[in-house]
Amino acid sequence: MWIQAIRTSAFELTMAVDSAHEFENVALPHAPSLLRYAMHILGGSKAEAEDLVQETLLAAWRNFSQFEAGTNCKAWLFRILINFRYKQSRRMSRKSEEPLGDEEHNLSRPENISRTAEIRAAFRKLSPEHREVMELAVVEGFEIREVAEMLKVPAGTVMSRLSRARAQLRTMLQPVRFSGGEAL
Amino acid sequence: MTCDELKNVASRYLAGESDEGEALAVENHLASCRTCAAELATDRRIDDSLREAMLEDQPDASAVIRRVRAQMELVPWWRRVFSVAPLRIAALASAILVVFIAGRPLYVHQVEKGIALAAMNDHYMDLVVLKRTDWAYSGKSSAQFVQSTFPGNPGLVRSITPAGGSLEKVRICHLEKTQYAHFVFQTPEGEVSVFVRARAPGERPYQAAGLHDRSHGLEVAGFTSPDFVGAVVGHEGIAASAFASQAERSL
Repeated sequence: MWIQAIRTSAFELTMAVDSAHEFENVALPHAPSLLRYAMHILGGSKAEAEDLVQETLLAAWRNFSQFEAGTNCKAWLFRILINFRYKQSRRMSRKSEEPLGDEEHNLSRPENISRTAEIRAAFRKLSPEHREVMELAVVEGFEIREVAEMLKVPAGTVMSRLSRARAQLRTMLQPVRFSGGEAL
Repeated sequence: MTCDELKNVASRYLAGESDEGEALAVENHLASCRTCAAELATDRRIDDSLREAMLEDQPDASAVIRRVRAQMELVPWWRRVFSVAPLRIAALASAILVVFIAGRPLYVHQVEKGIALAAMNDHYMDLVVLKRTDWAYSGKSSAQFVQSTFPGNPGLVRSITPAGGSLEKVRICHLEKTQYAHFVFQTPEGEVSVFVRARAPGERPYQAAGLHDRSHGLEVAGFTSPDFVGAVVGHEGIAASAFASQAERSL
């Protein structure tokens, strides 16, 4: 019986080591994307964004057995982060969203500063809902279906938000740089 | 395809997710409509520029990865499945647990504590964090599930329904490697989870352990009846202990 117990423990320990290894390979590489998204969307300090990402990754680690191998781990992690964020914003008193801080976020190369600053300025003027779908679908490259699952809204809602966000960006940016087919 | 129809599917087309038929219809329209073609080209350039601008931010995640790795090592593998450390109640692990029913502090056996923590974690992950959508049974199928899983106990759901609540969904889950039915009830105070399993012949009754997680505003209370073992989890203030004792009395 003892031998059986030791064998079982050894087996489970091996499984645990494999699982940690897999988590390292599959989940942790997405930490920079999660952090970037948290910083952009929260509009808070890097420390706050790091706390959110840490909470997300630890929840993912503790529930890694629920992750289906072969599915999109990045989407799974973003779903957890977004749910944490919703919960956090519900719990906290309605703190108005701060705009992205240029000094912290503007890491552009000098030659791109004006163009990047222009895009960022226009992006900041979008509503939080529109920024969220653009960030997830366009910047992070999630499928519309995945964004819909993350935000718990129908795919049609994601598409219409994307469409409205693009229309606003077009209006804000077109007169200056995006008209007449001019290459950027 | 008209201009308005194109607007409805443009996001899908730009994402490269249109099926062959839709992509062909979009391209045919673009070939004959300069306005839409220019608009879509502009959108594509804006998307590219936005992506480029945002991806220039490459925040250093090494600090957070280090912190996560350190925490991963602290969590024993055998606790991972049901640990509630993300709820930041790890400090409770060695603390006095509150027994609601008795209304006095009491050290609770590890088994009861484990079940209570696992139930709280399951509730938190399924309903708050992951917002699981793959519930095995909801609506009428819930009734069929109860009939087949707990035959001979037609009043089970009534007995465990919190006051003012209605059954929303149910799924099978594992708390400390033991199978439970996880019922979710909608109540005026929010969603309440009730975990139930049949009590094995000769199984001793469990101490009615109760826990608070103040940082996440959750509470849990366990119960044991002659035939069932379970736990009630919900937002702080739902009186989990009252629901648990109600279930204990009625089952």
